[in-house]
Amino acid sequence: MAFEVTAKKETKKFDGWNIIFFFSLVLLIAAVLSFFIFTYYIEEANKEIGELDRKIANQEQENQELKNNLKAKKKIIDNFSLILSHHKLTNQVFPLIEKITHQEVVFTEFVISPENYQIELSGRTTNFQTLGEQILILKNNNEISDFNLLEVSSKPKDLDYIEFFLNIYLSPQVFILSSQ
Amino acid sequence: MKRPIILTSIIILAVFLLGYFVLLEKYNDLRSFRFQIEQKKLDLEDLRESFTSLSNLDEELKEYESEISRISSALPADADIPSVANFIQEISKENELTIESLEFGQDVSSRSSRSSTKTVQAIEGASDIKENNFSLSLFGSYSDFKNFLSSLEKSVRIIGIKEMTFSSLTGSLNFTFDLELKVYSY
Repeated sequence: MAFEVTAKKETKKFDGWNIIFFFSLVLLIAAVLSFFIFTYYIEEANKEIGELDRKIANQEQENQELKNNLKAKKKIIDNFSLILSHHKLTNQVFPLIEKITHQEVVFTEFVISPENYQIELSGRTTNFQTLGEQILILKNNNEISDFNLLEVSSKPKDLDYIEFFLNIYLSPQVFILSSQ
Repeated sequence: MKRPIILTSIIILAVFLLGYFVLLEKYNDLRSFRFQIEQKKLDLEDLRESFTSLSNLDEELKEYESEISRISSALPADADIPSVANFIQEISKENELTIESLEFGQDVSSRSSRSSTKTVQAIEGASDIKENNFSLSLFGSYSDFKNFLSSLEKSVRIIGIKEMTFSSLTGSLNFTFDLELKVYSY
């Protein structure tokens, strides 16, 4: 009977270590399997990253092409706007000159500089009174920013007219495109 | 009994080493890749949204294609002097003005003491746009000249006037009109 009791105790100890051994073996198998599973998922993730990189590169290229196309159009529009902002029209200058000319004054020489909004006029009139009236007309016109009477001369031999030289600065509005 | 203890110890140690040095690293790598994937998906989404808004803008601009084309004609790639000269000739003829001279390619500043311009110069604010200057001398009546200017200013190609001078000859209704003109190109 005593022999049987001892044999039972040894069997119990042996079973415990076996369980731990098999458990550790399962852990090892699980670890090895995990290694392969992780490797597989990492490879898949790498593939997905590669695919996304390719898609991003394609999309970036498409965006860049479209951006370049739009930039080219924008440049055309901007440059045109810039040129228009520098562009001066003279179609309103002549009606203005006609409007501001006194009926007894004759302008003989015109120099029109649209870029400086300036007109240089050489004129002739019969007397100082009409010249004064001409000056008054210029003064009262709101399309004229400023003017200078630079020279007035009366030739002693030919006293029936006087010559003068005017420098007129027009309002920039005169040179801007009107809807008319 | 000794064999399972030693083997078990070796296996547990191997599992620990494998777990700590290999699996943990793999796990961190996988997490990092997953994060990268999410980031790249967001980047791609942003790019696609950006593409959609750019496409919409492009579609809107396509409605103004003819206007943009006309603007391009106003500002061609080169000065195209022959077509400008041809246009000047045509409108002079239409308005019964005689061309006394038409000069391109010379420094027009030498002809005038009032301005100092070069034949070709870059426009202020846009270094890639060139201003090509030329001079024109016309003979005819004042009213015809006004019509000529009106035609000139309606041209698709923008022709600017830098300066114009004219004086009447005593007893004549006709004038000599000297113009310094400019056209723009790239």
